[in-house]
Parts: sequence; C-alpha cells; structure tokens
Amino acid sequence: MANQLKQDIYFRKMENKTIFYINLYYKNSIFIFFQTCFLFLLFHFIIDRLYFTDEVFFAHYYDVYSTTKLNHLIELRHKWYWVSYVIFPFLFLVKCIIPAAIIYLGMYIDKMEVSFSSVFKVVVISQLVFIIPEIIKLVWFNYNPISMDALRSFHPFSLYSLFDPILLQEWLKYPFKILSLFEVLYWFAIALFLSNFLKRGFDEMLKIVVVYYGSFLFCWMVFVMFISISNS
Amino acid sequence: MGKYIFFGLLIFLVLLGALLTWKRMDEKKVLAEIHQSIPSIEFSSLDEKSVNLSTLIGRSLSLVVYFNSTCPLCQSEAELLVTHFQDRENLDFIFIFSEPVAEIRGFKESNHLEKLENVVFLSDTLFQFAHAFKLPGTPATFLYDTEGKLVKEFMGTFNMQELKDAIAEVNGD
Repeated sequence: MANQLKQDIYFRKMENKTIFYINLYYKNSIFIFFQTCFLFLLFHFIIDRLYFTDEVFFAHYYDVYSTTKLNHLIELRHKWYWVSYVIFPFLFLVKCIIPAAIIYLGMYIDKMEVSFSSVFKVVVISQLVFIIPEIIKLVWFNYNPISMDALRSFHPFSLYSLFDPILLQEWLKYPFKILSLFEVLYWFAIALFLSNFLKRGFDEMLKIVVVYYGSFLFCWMVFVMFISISNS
Repeated sequence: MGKYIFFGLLIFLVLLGALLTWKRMDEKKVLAEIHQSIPSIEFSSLDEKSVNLSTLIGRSLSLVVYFNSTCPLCQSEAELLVTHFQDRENLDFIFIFSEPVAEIRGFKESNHLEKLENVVFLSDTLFQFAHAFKLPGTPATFLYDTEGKLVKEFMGTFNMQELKDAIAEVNGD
C-alpha cells in the first residue's frame, strides 16, 4: 500500500517535471527571454543594493578623484542608477542573440532544420546556468570583506579565480574570466536542451556547439586579447 | 562551402585584431619616444615672461601637468595634488594651461595651488605642448626624474597611489 503510494507520488512528480519542460519549450521565446532577464536583473539589483554601496565606491575612487568630485559623482550615481537597469535587457539580448545566431548558422550549414526562435529559446534557458555564480557571489560577500576590486574580480570556478588579479597580465584577464566551469556547463546545457527539443543525439548537438560556438568564442577571445594588449 | 565562409570570417576577425594591435603598438612606440625627450618650447609665465620648458625639467623630480581650468577632472586633480603634496619640497610642479594668464590666476586661487611648494604656471594658448606631445586632451600628467627621464605618465585622470609609488621608487623609499 505504502509502496503504491510512493510510486504514485513519484510518477506525479515526473509528470509535473515533464509538463514543466513542455511548457517551457512551448512558451513564447519573448516571454522566456523577459522571465530570465528579470531573474538576472533581480540579482543585479540585490548585489548592487547590498554590496556596491557609496562607501565601497568612495574607497575605490579615493585615489583618483578629489572628495568634492567624489561627492558629486555619488550624487550623479543616485540620480542615474536606474539607467543600468534599463540598458541591461538590451545587453542580455545581445548576450543571447550572438550564441543563438552562431549555433543556428552552424545547424543551417550542417543542414539541420530548426527555427531561430527555438535555438534562441534554448540559449536563453541555458543562460540560467550563470545565475549560480551570482548566488555564490551573494553568499560569498556576506561573509568576506567587500571592495570594488574584490566584487569586480569575483569569478568563481574560473581560471581567473586561480590567479592573483594584480599579478595577471591585462590581456589574460578577459579569457581567464570566460574560461570557467559555468561556461562548460552552459555549452552542455545548450546541447542537452537542443537534443531534447530536436529529438536528436546529445553528442551531435554538443559537436555543433563546440565546433561553431566554441570556435567563435575562441576567436573572439583572441580578438579581445589583441585589443587589451594595444590598450595596456 | 558555408563552413569555409564561417571559419574564414573567424580568421578574418583574429587577423583584424592583430592588425589593429600592431598599428596601435607602433603608435605607442612613437609616442613613448616623443614623451622621453622634453621639447624646447617657449611658454608664457604668470608674470608674462618667456620660459623654456626644457630649462625647468631635470633640476629636481618634476611633475608636468597639462590642465584646462574649465575641465572638471583637472579641478579634481588640482584638489588631490594640494591635499597630498602641499609643503612637499623635493618635487617641482609645472602646470601648463591651454589658456591665457588671467584664467590661470583664477584657477590657481580657487584651487589653492599656491599651497604647493616649487610651482611654476605656464600659459600655452597656441597648444604647442599638446601638439608636441600628441595629447588627446586634458588632464595629462608626466613625472620626470632628476636626469629629465620620463618615469611615469598618465593620460586622463591619474591614480594618486600609483603616482606616489612612482615617486617613492625614484627616491628609493
């Protein structure tokens, strides 16, 4: 009797999970985009309010601006802080559209039939992986000293976190920030959702992600490295 | 075919980055050489006398600051310099303004620059300094040692800690 009940609960849970995924897949990509974007914005807002305080701002720019100028900048910051929240969805859109376009192009070249909106949806859902470092950041700075440098250079489980940021060459910073456990998880998430959605093999989808998006990301990192060298 | 175009575009992106870097590095090399040698330019001092810049640098540790009184960052830097360097004796301050003498006097008084020791104010209304040093704008700061060798330069706002570290390194502190 008890076993029967347990089995019933298990199947109901599985059913709910399936319904959740089906819902996610069949929802409008714009709706999913704004839902995910809102979640990131929420974290952005909480971290901003809790950790990027006036004191942290003042301490960071103390050596660069005079007290009068700093007070003026803090006033401006209070007046215009909402702008970053308005711009954020556009930046997030670019962050999703580029991988989606590259993967879609890859699938088109490899003669796979898929709509751009499906690939975009998968990329947006996979972006949720990057919520994890935000949660870690929120918890980490609750117990550790806060400074602008510490907040900006906080990239958990990345190559960057293994080195002292002061000793690291300027041109290595960007690629080391990108090369993280979450980037790998992101690739796997895209491949997994694509294989579920298109009913194709995971390996086949992972190959598309690695060959096209991976090579694009590599070349982009090299490009940014060159630009960093020229500006340093 | 599509694959070749895709990877060709990626290679083009990398090559573009390499080309931009190569050009920029070349420009930086030329700029570094220009900033090393102090130009022999005549400026007008506050008492309307002609002063040659090359005669002022190299006597002591010298901080050459290119300012404009209307630039808010210059006002901020002036306040920082007064806060951190007032009564400091072994450092020469050479302020070059892209404005007439009357405006320099006003800036000097409103920002209490008279509190600095060993300070010279020069007027460069013909933008000779900006032209010779190929400066994109104000402020710009250059630290020269006692032999007239460039130690540190800042385009735009400087970082006080970095400036102090550079001075300490020259002084062997």
